[in-house]
Amino acid sequence: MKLNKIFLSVTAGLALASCGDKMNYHEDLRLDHAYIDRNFEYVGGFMNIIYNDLDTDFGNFSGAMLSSATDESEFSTAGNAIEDFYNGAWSPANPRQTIWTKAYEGITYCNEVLDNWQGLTFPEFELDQDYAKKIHQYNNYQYEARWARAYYYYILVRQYGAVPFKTHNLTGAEETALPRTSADEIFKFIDSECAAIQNLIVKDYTNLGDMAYGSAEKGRAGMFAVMALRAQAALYHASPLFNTSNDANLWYDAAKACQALIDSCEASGRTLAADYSQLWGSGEFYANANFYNEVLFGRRVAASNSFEGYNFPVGYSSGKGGNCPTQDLVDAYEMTNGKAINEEGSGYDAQNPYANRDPRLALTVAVNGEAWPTDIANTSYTTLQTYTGGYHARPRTSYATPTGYYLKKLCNSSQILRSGYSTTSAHVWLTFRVGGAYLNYAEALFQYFKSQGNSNAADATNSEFRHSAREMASKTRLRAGMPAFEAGMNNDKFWAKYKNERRVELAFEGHRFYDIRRWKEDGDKFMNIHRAVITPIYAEDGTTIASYTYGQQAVTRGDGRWQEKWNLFPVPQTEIMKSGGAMTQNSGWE
Amino acid sequence: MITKAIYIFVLPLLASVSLPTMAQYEIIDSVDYKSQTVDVGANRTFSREESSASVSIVVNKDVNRRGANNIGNNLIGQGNGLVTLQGAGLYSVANPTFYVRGLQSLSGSTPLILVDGIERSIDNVIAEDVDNVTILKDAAATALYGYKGANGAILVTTKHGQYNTRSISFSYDHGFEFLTNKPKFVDAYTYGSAVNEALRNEGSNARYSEAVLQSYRDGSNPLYYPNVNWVDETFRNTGHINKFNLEFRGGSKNFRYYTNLNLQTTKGFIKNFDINDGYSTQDKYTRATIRTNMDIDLTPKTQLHTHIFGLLNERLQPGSQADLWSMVYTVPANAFPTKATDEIWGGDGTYTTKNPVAQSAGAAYYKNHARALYSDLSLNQDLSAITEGLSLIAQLGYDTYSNLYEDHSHTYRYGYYTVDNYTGGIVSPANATLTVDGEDTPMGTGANNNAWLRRFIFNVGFNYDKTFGKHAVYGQLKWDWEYNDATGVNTTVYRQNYSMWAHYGYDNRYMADLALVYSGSSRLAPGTKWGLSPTLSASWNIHREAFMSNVTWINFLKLRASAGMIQSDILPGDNVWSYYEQFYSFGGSTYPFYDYGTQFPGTIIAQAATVNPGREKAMKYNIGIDATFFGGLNISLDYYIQNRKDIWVSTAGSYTGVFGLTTPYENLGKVNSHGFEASVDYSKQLGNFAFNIGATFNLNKSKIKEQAEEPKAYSNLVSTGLPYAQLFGYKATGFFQKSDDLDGDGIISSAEFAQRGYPVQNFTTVRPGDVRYEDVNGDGVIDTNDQTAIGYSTSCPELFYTFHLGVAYKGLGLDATFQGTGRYSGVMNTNGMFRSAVATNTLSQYLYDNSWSAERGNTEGARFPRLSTTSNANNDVTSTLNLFDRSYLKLRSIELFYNLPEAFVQKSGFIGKAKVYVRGVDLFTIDHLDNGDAAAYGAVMPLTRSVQVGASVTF
Repeated sequence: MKLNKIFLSVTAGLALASCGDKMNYHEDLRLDHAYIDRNFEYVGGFMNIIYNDLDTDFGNFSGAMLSSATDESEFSTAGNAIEDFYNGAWSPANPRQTIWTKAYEGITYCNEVLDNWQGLTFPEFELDQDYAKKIHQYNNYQYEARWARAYYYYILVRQYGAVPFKTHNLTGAEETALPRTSADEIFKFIDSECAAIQNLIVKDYTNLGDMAYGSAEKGRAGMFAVMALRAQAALYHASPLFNTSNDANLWYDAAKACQALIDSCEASGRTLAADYSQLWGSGEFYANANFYNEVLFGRRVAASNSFEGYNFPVGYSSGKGGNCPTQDLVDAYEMTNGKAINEEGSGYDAQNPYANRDPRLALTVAVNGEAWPTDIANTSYTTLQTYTGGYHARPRTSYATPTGYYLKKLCNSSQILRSGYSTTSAHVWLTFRVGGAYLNYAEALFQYFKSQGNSNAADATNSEFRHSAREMASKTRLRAGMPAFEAGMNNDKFWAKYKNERRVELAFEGHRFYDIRRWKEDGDKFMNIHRAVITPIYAEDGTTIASYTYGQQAVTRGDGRWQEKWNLFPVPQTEIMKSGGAMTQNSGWE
Repeated sequence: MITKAIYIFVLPLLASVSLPTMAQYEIIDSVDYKSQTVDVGANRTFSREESSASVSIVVNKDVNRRGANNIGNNLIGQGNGLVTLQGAGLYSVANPTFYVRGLQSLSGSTPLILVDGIERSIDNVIAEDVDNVTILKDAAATALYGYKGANGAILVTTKHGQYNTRSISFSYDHGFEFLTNKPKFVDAYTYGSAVNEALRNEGSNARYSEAVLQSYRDGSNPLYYPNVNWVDETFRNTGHINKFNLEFRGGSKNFRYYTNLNLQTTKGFIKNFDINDGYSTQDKYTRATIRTNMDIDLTPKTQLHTHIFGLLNERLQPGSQADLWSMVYTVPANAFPTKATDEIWGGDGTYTTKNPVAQSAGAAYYKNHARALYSDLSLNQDLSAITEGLSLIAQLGYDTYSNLYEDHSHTYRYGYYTVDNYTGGIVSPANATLTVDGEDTPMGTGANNNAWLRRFIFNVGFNYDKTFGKHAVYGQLKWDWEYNDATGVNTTVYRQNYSMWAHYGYDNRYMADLALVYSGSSRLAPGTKWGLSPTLSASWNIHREAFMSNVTWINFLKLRASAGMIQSDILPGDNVWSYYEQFYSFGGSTYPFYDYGTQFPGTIIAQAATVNPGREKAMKYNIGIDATFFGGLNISLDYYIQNRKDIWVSTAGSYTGVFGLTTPYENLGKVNSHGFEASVDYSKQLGNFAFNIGATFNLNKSKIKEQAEEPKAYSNLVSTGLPYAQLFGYKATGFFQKSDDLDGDGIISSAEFAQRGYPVQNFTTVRPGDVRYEDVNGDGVIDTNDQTAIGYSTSCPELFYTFHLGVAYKGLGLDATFQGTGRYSGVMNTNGMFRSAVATNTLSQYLYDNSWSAERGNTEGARFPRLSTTSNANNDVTSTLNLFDRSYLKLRSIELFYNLPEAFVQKSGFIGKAKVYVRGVDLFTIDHLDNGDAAAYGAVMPLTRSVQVGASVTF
């Protein structure tokens, strides 16, 4: 009986001690609003997500860039999803969406920041000596968020046209029932948002004056990013894909937006970098003032070598070949005298094809015999063999370049992939830069004057637009060491030259995929590309290569014909079905 | 130790020459069916005749038919209502997947595993320690386990001593394991020809010249043009297992004990384990366990029971825990030589360190050490002083487990040769370039504790057990407390149960049980932590009715039924705790706002909160019959229905991307399942001859009723309404032939599709030899919308059956167990073995011989598409072409044993009983997979067959 009493009291005691709050035990950090709003950096952390959701294209399809769905390049691994963009497998059920999810996530975060995280004072930090500077930065988050939201709508409208539109977050059911808002209204929203914030946002994070503290957060969007977005969105709005009524006012608005940007840039010393290759290149290049002068907004990514891994030559360590420039792109580079290779008097030698070419070619494309990348010197084959049967070519090496070329642009040539020695470095996606701004301005001016019936629109000026399209389109050429465009070209000739300049200057920066679509011109060029066929001629000993002959091989993609509906992406089928029919499909994709 | 073992092994063999004077009949169970002990977790066991729960019991004579390393692997092919799917991998880590009544829920169907009534891993429970294994199937059987019992349970009960007995027994077993299903890959010459063929198939030029191919074929330049059989170079055919077991069991007037010491050592299949000075890189496993179970009668009214189990094990593997099998499935015979020079292993830019020989012999080793102490103690106090039949029970348990690793791996240099412009003959070293990569590093020194578990349980309750005339009453009120903490975060769980359980029996004819379990769990959302699970069951012993008294051939006939709702604390998603409120979290990528320096982390809006959180519930209904006829024919039949509801599902299928956040979880899922189980077993003894024959048959079917599935454009894509885990794929209709390539350019263009009247099929460029698919949705295009349900599930068979046979004459006996599956699918999708990406993967002889090839004239009878150099979006999809019927039938065990005549062995003066046996495990399989084993296929270690010999003596 004594034992019983002990037993009973012990168990009763244990029972009382152990119930209760243990049922509420948890191990994860459950952070609520009150926790986050204590600290600048906790709230600032939302901006990380917003910036990280901004698009890049360092090979979003297992290494394939959208450029490999254009005539800029061909992806070295057959069967990549990028082929869907031209082989007919692209469909609402296989929508190949690249930004839909991320853009809406970004928009949702922007709405969250704007609706729920404004007006905070962080009283815990009031005595901090940097308090005023931190509050200044925090107060700019709202403008950065509005810029980012407008930017997300720009990339959405560029791909889809009309899209569901929200400026405040709603419930899942309400947002799922949103219909698509017309492209025209989306463009108007972008324009009005940019107009509203361009004078409120920090002008330049490199030069905060009294408000500078710590390291300058140069990766943030400032006034130039806002104006560049406004100018580029205006150009898209005026382009034939979206300007279906060929409204000349849209070209006028675009020219004004471009002009405002260029004028601001020039007034603030934001100019073209001295050297084209300073826009990417080696190491921590974005700390280079020259780079920063030209790049109005760059989407930064953390140091890595994955882009080089995708694009370095197959045969060099773990290089995968990746996005191999086409012969068509190589042929687009003019001779140093400013003539196209097939023009009379160009001096082009088909058996010495890389001599006397636009210097940008050698900065963009790696060719047979070149020592690329730098570290190739430390391997068994110290120069590129992209001739048929060469070490870095087919059929000797699987996945090697099909075109005979490898990509240099955006790659860091000094990156090492060899295990034990491998390096990483920073990369920046060139979202907006002065070079692109000049070309945008040239196009807007030209199209505006052309819409006014001017048959020599390239050279036209007036009291409002004192620079000609030709002048603006020559800026990037002059920087590269090429002659300016000659005066007196008729509209068709200038337009062709302009398109070529844009293609060359902005190669692999993600423009051509969309330019062809918004112009509604030249789609067939994407469907019929060319590869170099470089055949070695052996010397008498039978093993040494004496010279090469250069030929071409035509490649037809899919059925070789561009389809009108491809100008816009299909809305993912599942999204339409989930919306219960509130969303409709783009024409041609139904 | 070894010599003694051999002595003990040989002595009985010699003795066996003489005739037995007395036989034991181990193939017949010593306990009759209706008297089997049923344990549903109350503090009292019942006989099968008394119980109304649906359970099946694997009795002691059957728990060690396979001589496996743990009870889990021994259960394969045993137990009615239990699906056991053999796992692949190293001997020390391969464990089967269990399902009690098949697939039941979207949230998983893993049953609760209990050892001596406490949730414990069975990985280290050895068969020698096990008295029986009970499969708890219906709601009545698992009700008392609260939130944990929804998927059924497997209860392992260990041995205890008996009053006033004493025995010591020793046994030694040696097992030979054979790698009989080794994959066969092509030699270098065939590989080179295959790559050339694949390139020509794609309209490219051949890669290997005739001179190079010839060099591969004649082996004249083994360093520069190697031909390595990686399987044979890496693995040997035979592994060894040694087991020593020493058992002490017995008791006195008020004390009972069981103590067992077990040592097991195994050596695996690494061929080149001994090339390093001072250490081995063999895949070795050594385990020692000790178990002591005691039952002490402290006073006439107070009993103390303990279970104490200790474990030490050590697992040695080649460096970096390299997956050698995936390497031999990847590296072709011509990739590089085993070694490039004496110092440098073979390896190149494509396959880098995937040289399996280098990785098994040249990368040093990695060790795991596990240690565990599992203990529990229970006290039973008779309180009849207060009122007759009342007693108090309290139990305390504490388990601890941890694993340490020592990483002594190192890396090595590797290289390969390239030869320029080879035109035949012997390559001079001067013409070859050696490319070297990697580096020789010193042996690593990493060591740490990487896994642990702590578990504490406590329960206290009152029992009332009394018979009033014809009325038998048993009642229990109990409070359970459980605390669990394992490696990682969000692994700590507290649970409680308040349970009321009542059993009523009238005249041993009518029985009813009621369980009311009120469970709480720290895992669930506030306000939903506590839930009540009620279960009611009843049974009728028909054989006890007066009208049956003349029916002598019916020894036992019972009808039973149960219905219950078992709630569960399963969390949504992958153990997501924070589902019920809108939280934020830090993480994600930083953004490089500064040019240099540390960036602050992101702030994430966590998963959107669940609007009305709840709990998953299982509504379980069961009816069954248990019977014994003619004194030895045991029959058990069960039919069950289970409706799962409120299963956690993501609402990602309901909201568009415009929502922008991770969608919330909701309790929307519903899965219904039902099934049928039958077991028949007949035993008979005729003088010195005894036999036993039996079979089990299980059919388990499930159907998803609701899962918030994303809307689908075509009905063939919808999985709601189909069995859970239904396989989806394309319907293959054959191959494109040369005749489809009308213009002869090697490509079947969309124009040619149109001319041939085929639907457009453009996963990628289509060439002759590619697979043609059926336009299931009829839209004229073959795309992802043409997938449809094909075959069955690849994760669990709907049909599972076993049968066994045992015969004994005097001391000599033979016993065999077969196990089979049906309504089960597999996909032949292993790269290299069934799918070609020849340029970056090796190639099996089977695939080479059976692939479509115009060059080799295999276009009509081909089983696989043309060889391709890389993965092919058209061919490498799941379709009826690579679907196979995964049904199989295996001879799980066959054993020939001999119990030496007791009168003879007892002449020795110290030996009481002796037994010798030889056993074969998994010797024979019938399946539908031509190259591999349907039970476990893919780039994994092949399943082994084993032959074991052993002897045991009892003193």
